[in-house]
Amino acid sequence: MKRWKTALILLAAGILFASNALVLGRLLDLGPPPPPRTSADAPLDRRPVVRVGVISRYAPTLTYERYQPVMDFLGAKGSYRYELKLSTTYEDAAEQLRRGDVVASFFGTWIYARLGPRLGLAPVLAPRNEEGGTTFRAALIVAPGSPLSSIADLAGRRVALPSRSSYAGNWLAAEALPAAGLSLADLDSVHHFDYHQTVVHRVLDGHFDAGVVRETVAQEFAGQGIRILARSGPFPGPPLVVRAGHTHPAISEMRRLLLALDPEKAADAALTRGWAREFSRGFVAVEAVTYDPMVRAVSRQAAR
Amino acid sequence: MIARFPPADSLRTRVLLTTAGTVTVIMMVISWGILAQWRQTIVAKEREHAIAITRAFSVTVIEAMIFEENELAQSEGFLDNYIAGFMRQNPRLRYIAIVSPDGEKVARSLQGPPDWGDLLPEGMLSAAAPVTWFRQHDGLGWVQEAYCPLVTGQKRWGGLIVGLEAESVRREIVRSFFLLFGLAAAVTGLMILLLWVLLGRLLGSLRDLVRAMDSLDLEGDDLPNLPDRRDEIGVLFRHFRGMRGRLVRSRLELIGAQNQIYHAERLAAIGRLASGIAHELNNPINGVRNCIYAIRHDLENREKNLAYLQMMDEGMEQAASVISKLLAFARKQQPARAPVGMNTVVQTVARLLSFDIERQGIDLELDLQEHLSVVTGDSQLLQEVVMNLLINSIDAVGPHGDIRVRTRNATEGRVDIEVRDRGKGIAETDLPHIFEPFFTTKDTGEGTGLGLSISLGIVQAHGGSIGVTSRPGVGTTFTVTLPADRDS
Repeated sequence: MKRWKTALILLAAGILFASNALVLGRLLDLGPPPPPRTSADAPLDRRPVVRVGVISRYAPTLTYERYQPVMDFLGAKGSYRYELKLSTTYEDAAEQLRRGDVVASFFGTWIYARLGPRLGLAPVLAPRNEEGGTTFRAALIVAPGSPLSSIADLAGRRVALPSRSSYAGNWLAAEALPAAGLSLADLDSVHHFDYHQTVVHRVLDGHFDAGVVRETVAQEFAGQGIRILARSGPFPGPPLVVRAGHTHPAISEMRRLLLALDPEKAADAALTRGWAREFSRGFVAVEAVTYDPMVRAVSRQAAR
Repeated sequence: MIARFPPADSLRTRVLLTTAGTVTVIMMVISWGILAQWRQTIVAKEREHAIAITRAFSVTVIEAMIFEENELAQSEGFLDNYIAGFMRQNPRLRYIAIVSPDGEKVARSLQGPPDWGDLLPEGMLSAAAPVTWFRQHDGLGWVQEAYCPLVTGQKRWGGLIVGLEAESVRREIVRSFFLLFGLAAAVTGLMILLLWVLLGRLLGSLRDLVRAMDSLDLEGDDLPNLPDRRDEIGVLFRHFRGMRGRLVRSRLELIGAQNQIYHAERLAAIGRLASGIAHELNNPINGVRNCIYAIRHDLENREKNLAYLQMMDEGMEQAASVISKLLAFARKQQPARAPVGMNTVVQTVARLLSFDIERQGIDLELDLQEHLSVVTGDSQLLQEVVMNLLINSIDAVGPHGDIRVRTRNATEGRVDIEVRDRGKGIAETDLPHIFEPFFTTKDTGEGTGLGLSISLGIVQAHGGSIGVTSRPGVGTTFTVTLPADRDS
């Protein structure tokens, strides 16, 4: 009887030990890989590739995030596979057009005005603004709580500007400061950044007292308390340019598809929500004459 | 004296074993549940960590791939440099690989699994969101791998695979397991210890009660030494004291009733003896009368008269002896406790009943053991026991019957007195009732039904017992067993 009881206790202890060992072993087995969540299999896209140039006014990843959806839209609706082609300078972008590496390219207004007519480029589309037109403005911004209240207060201040090859990067020196009786020499310092977003960040983090960016960019940061002190006069929006006389079928396809976007339609509004902000209202057709005033202004500035 | 049990049989051990087993199983199941939850949390945290790392690095990788695709790169091999730098910053990283949309490796770390080709599970390239999984690699142990698709819009740059060591995850699970195991063991041990103490106190109270019961004295005035408590044990103690009071009262009433019954039965036995005694006295009286008659007729014959006077003297002496014995039996005496030889008791009773026995021609055999141990008790009461048994046997065998009385030293210091007759026996249905007061199978007026009841009471009062075996038509054997005097 006693032996039987001892055996029973030993058996219980054994079961206890074995079950715990089993549980521990099971817990330590981190397991096979889970089944992957797969997206719908897309058939291999064998359509011809059409490259569209973009002058990287933003960080490359940001540029892709804003412009790639436009390519996806064109590819989904059109008969070509559209791919972005980034360039860091406007000169490179113009050269890519000239060489035929890209059939069209998103240009900045200022660089088109400076180089477009000379290199034989023609604007075909530009972003539509809130009023349905195609003009935009540059904006002088300050951080929340800044004591500055006008352009005249910039004397002795640090100012951040975007690329020298953008309208916003030139507006302050060419128009705003002289109108306020100041010049660049009256400022403490001026620094040009490659991207508009960088200008906003540097103003927000206090490295600079003020900055100039495109108004649409300033509006993106409205939630951060950015305050606009002054706006430039209207200037035509950044155009999609092609080589003058170039008749690639993709050009007319792009025009057709992008002009058909109607921001009043919910489906189109949803579609453009993730695009670059200036594209959210769709596009309008433009011609070279639209940019003539800007071309003349840039020429005058170059002459000075 | 409190009985001692083997530890395995004690109530405390059994309760503790049962409780410990139950508590252990419950704690184990609870611990497993908690552990499973902890494990899930640990693994989920690790997965989030891996995905966060992979997502963070994927931004750099996408940018680098954008630069490369757009021929903006300043130098070649910068992806490899990014990978090496990222691995230096994260000691838990074991390897990194970047694959193109068709699964070809674009870049990878110098360190890595033995088989790079088997790195990406089937179908993983088309994953729409970051995925993590665990696997074991030879030499690397357990590794958590995370795959992050490199996508901008619908453009697929490829995928990023990151391997993070996962042995620390397993170590954390093991630590959690033993922490819970220790906690569960400590709680179980504490409960068992608490139960051990409580059971000890409870059983200690029961032991006090057992001691009180063992030392229960219904004759004395000493109350059991039990503490006053205000719990269930206290109620038990109070009820025990109440029971003792009732027992004392019952015992006193029983003693009174028994005394009356003894006396009545004694008188009945005397009545039974009366006819024999009358005969015993009648013979010497008739002899004396015959002698007186003879002397009157021949007063001168001196020699003959002397002989008659001698005969008269003997007759009177015989009568006086009979009367003396009768008086001694009928006198109600205080019970005494003295050494008693049961052979003497048997012989005395046989002599008292000799007239009845001889009158009915019964063959009485006395088989008395030499050097029979003496018992301690009251010889008069013990005589009464033997007499009752012998009278019953005489009645059972009838004229010319056969009775044997035997005494023996029994084992374990006891003395057996066996009264066996070859009479009519006792019906099986009557056997359970023969010791009940007033139970009799004799005709009305021939028996009170108290003899065996009284005898049993006397024997039990002497610490003994009476056994009976009987077969109807064959006979009956009564065996009185009494404790022998230790000094004998």
